[in-house]
Amino acid sequence: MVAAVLEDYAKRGIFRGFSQGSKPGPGRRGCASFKMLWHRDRFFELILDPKRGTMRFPLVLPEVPANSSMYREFQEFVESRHSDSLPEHRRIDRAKADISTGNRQGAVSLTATVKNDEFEYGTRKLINLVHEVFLDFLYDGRYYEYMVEKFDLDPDKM
Amino acid sequence: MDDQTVKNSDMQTSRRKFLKTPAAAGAAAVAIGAPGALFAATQGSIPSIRIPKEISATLSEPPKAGTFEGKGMTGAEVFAKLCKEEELAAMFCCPGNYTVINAIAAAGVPTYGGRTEGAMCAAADGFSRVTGEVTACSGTEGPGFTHMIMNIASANSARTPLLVLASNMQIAGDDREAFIQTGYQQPITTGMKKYGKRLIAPNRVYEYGTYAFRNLKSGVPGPVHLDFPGEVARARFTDPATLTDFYSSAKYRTDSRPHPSSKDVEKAADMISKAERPIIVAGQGVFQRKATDALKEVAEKNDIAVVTSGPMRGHFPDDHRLSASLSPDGLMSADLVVFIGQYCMPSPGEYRFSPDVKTIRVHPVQEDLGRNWPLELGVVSDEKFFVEALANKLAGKKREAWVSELAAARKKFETTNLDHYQLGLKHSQATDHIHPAVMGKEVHDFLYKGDIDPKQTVTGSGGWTSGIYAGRWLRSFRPGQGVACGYQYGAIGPDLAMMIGAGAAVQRGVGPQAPYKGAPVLVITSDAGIAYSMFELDTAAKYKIPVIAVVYNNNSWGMWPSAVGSARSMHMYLFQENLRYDKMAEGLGARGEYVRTPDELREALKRSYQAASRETMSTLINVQALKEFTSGKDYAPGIALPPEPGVGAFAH
Repeated sequence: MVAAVLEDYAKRGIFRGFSQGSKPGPGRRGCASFKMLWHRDRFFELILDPKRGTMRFPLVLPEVPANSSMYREFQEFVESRHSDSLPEHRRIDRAKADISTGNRQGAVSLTATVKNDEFEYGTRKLINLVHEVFLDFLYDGRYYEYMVEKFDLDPDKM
Repeated sequence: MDDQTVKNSDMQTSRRKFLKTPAAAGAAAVAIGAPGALFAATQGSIPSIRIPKEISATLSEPPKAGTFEGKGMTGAEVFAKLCKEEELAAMFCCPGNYTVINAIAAAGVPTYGGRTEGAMCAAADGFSRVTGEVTACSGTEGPGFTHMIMNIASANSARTPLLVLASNMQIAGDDREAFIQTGYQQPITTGMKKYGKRLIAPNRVYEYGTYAFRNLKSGVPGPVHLDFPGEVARARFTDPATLTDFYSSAKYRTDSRPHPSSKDVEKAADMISKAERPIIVAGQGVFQRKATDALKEVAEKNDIAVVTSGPMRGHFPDDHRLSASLSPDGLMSADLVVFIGQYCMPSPGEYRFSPDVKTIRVHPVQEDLGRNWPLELGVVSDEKFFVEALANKLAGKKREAWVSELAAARKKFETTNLDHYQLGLKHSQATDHIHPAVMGKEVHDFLYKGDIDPKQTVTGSGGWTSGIYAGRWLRSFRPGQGVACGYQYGAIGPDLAMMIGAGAAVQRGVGPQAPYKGAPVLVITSDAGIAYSMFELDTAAKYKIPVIAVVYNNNSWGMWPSAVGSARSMHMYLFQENLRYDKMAEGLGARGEYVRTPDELREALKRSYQAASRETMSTLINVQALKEFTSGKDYAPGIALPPEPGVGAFAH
């Protein structure tokens, strides 16, 4: 299901490149991984753990210290995507999936935990959220210099 | 102040209507004065700046087109006759390509001569962007032509129907480096034109002119580049029979446009009906094909949101309840996007739409459908015909939840802008320099919240910090009211020249500018950008085109943060501090204003607008700022990149 959803995004041009790295199997503790060429021409890896019902992007944003205001604001942004104040079509419904943040030595991750086998829902919400991180969250002026420093942003590469 | 008399009394009368502040007018008129006089007062006996009599005298001469009688017509005159018949809207040039530009002027095409070929190319682009008409620029072979390159490329990115003309020595001198200025032009414009040709057969001059106009007026527009060797421009024709394909436009091109198939319209209507939150991206094709009224009708019939894109703005009014141009947060909610007349296609991830959005694209050229953005439905059609057909097919529908969501998103965007302004105001007060958010808000309030008709003033913006902040505050309420000067090519610097061209269109009341004939135009640009075209203030003064140039002066190139942390680099990004662009403007026959506080800016805008409205006098307002305002770390909010599509967007 997850692979099919991701492949559909690839076919529709959301990812510029896409491949499935490994499939669930005993040697990989039941996990599957997917690689996609996506925002800012970077490769993203998505790890699916069907048993635990999780999908994780281990690296969404690089070099964001866990004690920084940027990380705090990122956590707030992700939390806000679950808010009842959002219209239903924009909201992440916690009854179906929950998306949480993580930070390991500055590498910011996102993990979707799906409930009741709502893998399609969880996949779509996770992809939409990463999309919003790059097209909404990072467009705030506070992160302009972060974009310049970490993503080599300049007018030639916007 | 000068020897030239403005003869168009209608224009002056109508200008008075634009400004509804008669009480303040008298005092302001005295305060304004003439820059020439001011300049003279500080220079003792040095003569004042003035416009020579020959300018008004030659501008008022009747057209004198060439004929086949007597000595006959030159190749240049044959080409000029075609330009006139094709209603070439204007030509902007610097001397050079003399035979051709003189013939075009003599034929009666409105012509303007300026200070640099590059700026004149931008001016021609600006005239076209606010009218949709075909315009031309011209320069001499070699240096004049190559000076135009940046702005030819810019026009190409903007899909401007721009006729680029240049002389090109003599065919007889090819490969010999005879005298000076030789060079092969056509390879230089490869990749930045729709069509180009070096004319080498004198008797085909008219024929290749028809190639040019067929390309300029058919399908998706773009620059056409013709270069004229001396043998062609100066050839003589006494018998039309010697010219190939010498017949009328009805024979060499067609105004026929593709209609959408009924099947495609039906499918599009079905997809729109099933969608909960459809949105139309109204690209420049909607403006070029004059489909704005039809677009409004179809949007209102079915409550479809509309966001505009392209190098010009206003083909759907920003203040319409269905406009999403100020609702970036709502874009991600759309479940169906319909691109109409989107000539420069983004890729998914560049526009702020959901990865799950379904897509219809309407485009006049089949080959472009599916490029960059995968489609659920591609429709080959003229933009206007499609919108009209869709309006007939679609049933009426109300989408109150969608409209409410757009309104909430608009409120959020405006609240964010006001938050930025409050931060900027704090920084301005603390530093005694103007923050760009304050500049944007003050210009916004002056143009849209005061006594001036909000639909009146055509605006443009450019520069990095200045353009990004200005884009959030400038509005367009009618077709051709806004110009994204750096659109898609990202050229820094054509802004002022481009808006002088737009001003020429307003001065003449061409197309959508007719109701506002003679009104001032306003451009917000940067200190980096103004260097590229500031001398065209002379051109504005010479032709009495009233332009207000708001120059954000932060003593640096906007990308100075790129030098932070890099050894021996910052010096390349900085200028002398506190340069006085206002004084330079005065030296060019315009007014100059220098401001460092919001109050000063507000008053300067009033004086400048009055001078523009009443005296056709241009003004440069030097808005003194600090480069550090670009940095969000030191001076929040910093650079908030413009969401695409919508107000402030300068790509796609």
